[in-house]
Amino acid sequence: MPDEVTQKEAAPDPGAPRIGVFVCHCGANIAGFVDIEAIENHARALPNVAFTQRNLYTCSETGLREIKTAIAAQKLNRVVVASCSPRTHEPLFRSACREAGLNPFLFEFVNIRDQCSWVHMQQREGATRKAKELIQMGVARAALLEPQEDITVGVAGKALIIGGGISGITATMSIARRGFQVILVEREKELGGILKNVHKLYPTMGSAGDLIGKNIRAVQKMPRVQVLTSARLVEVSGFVGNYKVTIDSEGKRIEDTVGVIVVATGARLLTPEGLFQYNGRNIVTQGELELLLKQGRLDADSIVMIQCVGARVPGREYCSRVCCMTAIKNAILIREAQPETAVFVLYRDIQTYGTLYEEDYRRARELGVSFIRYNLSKPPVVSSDKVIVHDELLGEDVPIPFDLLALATPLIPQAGFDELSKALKVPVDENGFFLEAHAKLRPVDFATDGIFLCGCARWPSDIGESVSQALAAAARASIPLSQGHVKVEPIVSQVDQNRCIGCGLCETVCSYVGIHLTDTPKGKKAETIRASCKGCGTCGASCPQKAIRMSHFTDGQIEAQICALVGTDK
Amino acid sequence: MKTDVVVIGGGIAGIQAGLDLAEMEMNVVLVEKKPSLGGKMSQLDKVYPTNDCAL
Amino acid sequence: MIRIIRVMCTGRVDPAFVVWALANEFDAVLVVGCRIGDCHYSSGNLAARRRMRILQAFIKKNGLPPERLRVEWISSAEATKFSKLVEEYAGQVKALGPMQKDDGTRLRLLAMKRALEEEKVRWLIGNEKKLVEEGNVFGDKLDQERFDAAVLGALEDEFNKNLIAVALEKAPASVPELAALSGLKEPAVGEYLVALEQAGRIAPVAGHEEYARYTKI
Repeated sequence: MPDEVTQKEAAPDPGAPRIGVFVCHCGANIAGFVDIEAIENHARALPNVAFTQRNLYTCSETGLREIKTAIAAQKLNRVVVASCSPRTHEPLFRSACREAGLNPFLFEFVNIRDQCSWVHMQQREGATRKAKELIQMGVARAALLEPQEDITVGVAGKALIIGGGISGITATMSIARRGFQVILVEREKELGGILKNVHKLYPTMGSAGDLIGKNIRAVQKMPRVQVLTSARLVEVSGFVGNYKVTIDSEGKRIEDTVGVIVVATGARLLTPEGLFQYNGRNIVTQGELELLLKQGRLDADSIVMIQCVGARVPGREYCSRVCCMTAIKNAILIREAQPETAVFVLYRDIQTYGTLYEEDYRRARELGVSFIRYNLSKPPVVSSDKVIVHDELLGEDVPIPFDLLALATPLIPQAGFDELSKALKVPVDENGFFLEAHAKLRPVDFATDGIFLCGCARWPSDIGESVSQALAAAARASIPLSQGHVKVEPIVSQVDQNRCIGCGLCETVCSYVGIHLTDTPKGKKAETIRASCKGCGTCGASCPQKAIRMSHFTDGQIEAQICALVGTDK
Repeated sequence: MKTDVVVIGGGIAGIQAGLDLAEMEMNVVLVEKKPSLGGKMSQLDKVYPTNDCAL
Repeated sequence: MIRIIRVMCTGRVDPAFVVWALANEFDAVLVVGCRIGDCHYSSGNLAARRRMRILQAFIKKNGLPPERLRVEWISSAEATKFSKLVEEYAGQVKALGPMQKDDGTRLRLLAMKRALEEEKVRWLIGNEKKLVEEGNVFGDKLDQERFDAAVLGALEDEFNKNLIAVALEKAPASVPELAALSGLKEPAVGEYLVALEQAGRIAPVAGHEEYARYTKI
């Protein structure tokens, strides 16, 4: 059970509500689809509203300054911002309130962008009314908000990295170099992941074996690093700073407490069963061609490569990103080593973004690799030694005899992603790749504090990208580790021990040891363990005596929000 | 104040690096050529694929 | 028109909130949480699912279409699924028509809410897993049917009692008036009045009419 480091006195009562409502134009993003002036006027007339203001961008420096100025000048003690999503902007507005001397939990967010201007883009009138009503509900809730003080808990100075491929190894070494303990868990017998089977790496043409070999040796020798192979995460509980993990390693159970977790489980290549006559002999995957090259066993005068095999097709819509460059790299290597070998690449689109990759594409064409574009509606037809491709540019069927056909199949989610996602309670996308907190602004964080991701577990990425992400994830994970403590949201249960009869139902329904029965002079009574309470509210909604108050989501606040619209015609 | 790290460039990359370093208890100086921070991103309206407002 | 109320977890959704919404001019309530097995808070959605099942039966028993409450489990990554669900459910609710907004309906809904806030009912609902799946210390388990009957019985009892209490909060009334309003027989009304009086919630009004009138305290 984590210890609470400090517990401050409850904040003073903010007094009778004086609510400020700030309505964001978001440029034209909101203001272009609703009558923003009417919304502001509506807000001004609501009970307890002392001040309203429209901002071009409430989240801009100017907007935040306007909030802070109004808090001081108008003596506001509650702030409502009607703009976008709490997922991205709640922390920002909360800290603006804090800077103006207002407890951040006296802030209420109303989302009139996602819920009004976006989903009702074509219904200006309805969207406007909905925005007015959402603000009305937000204001009703805001009037009842109470200040909360942060809870601070200690952080275990240890990280758990799941997956021992290039991403996991890189993240491990980066965190260990900062002076923290790291446990690296690999499911297979050896570290290395997918790179063990790769020949050379674009764009440097360096040996994949050398790179991963060097990294494996380095991580194994590294102080503070514990490498567990043939291992898997069995169980995890707790929260940022205090994850209790159980790992099974070669039949042994290991239990430990770690502060942060990095998911670096990678991906695997699709086996194209039933596609383009795949047989694993003369019709192989691009991955199997890598192995032939690596082992020096390639023997063919005519090689055809088909791109996007089982990728960017209905049911698996995404681009696997690494296949174009892998094909181009292998084509270059083959043509350089054996200029008499013909190489054809049948593609739908070539993705070689950036400077170095585009340069390789040009080089492959210089070396005489033939690139032929096909369309998904007329895919190449494969027989035992010949491909007939409908060349989009010529508008003709072109027969190409081959000795070896290489199918570029996409990276697909690692086996077992589902169990891991369940165990860690982190989401995956519709394809089964782990889903980051925000595609642009939090690319290596999960929405859950203290859990990070990198490499192909997130989506197909090449070595350079995986390493960048691993270093980024390591840096992000090092933040709570180096702070040594984290702030936990003070959204927790509060027990009124005078009403509590000690029935213990709260303890039964709690999944976190967040509340327990304790002996008091008045007999057994429930008591919240603030550092482990996650604030889900299950105990509060169950308590027979209604003796549990959920801070920031009290019965009163929620019920006020529900009945705020009575009398308004919905 | 002793400066641990100087970050050159106040666009999204520089700002994020500065923030993360500061959270790791480093003293950071963020240097930007222009009169305001934000770089290219502050000139954008929305960013794909989430369609969030770039500000 | 849909209005969203954010809670940390469906585990926070007290059945009383749902009824409160129906009593406050919402025509239906959709409770949406993480997929079963994927609860962000471990098992809050399981508790919610058990509660909402009972609540739905209670709503139905009170003559309201159970479709006025719908419970769905969708992950935050399933935006398309969510929007499809909302559109489909909105259509379904439109077909049901608006909730009745007369005083009688509101009174009954308030009584339902109060019933859901009563200790005995909440204890039973909260202990469903223990009583039905795990059994007591002696290993005795209740089968689902008997459990449901017990909860719904307790709910009905508390509903009747609270219907009288809520009616008396609006205006003093006599036994025959309360019987007419609640549809209960006069002796039953009498019993609830005694219970309420003992709980200190109501008292008889002094007067010389044929029947004593009661009022809230």
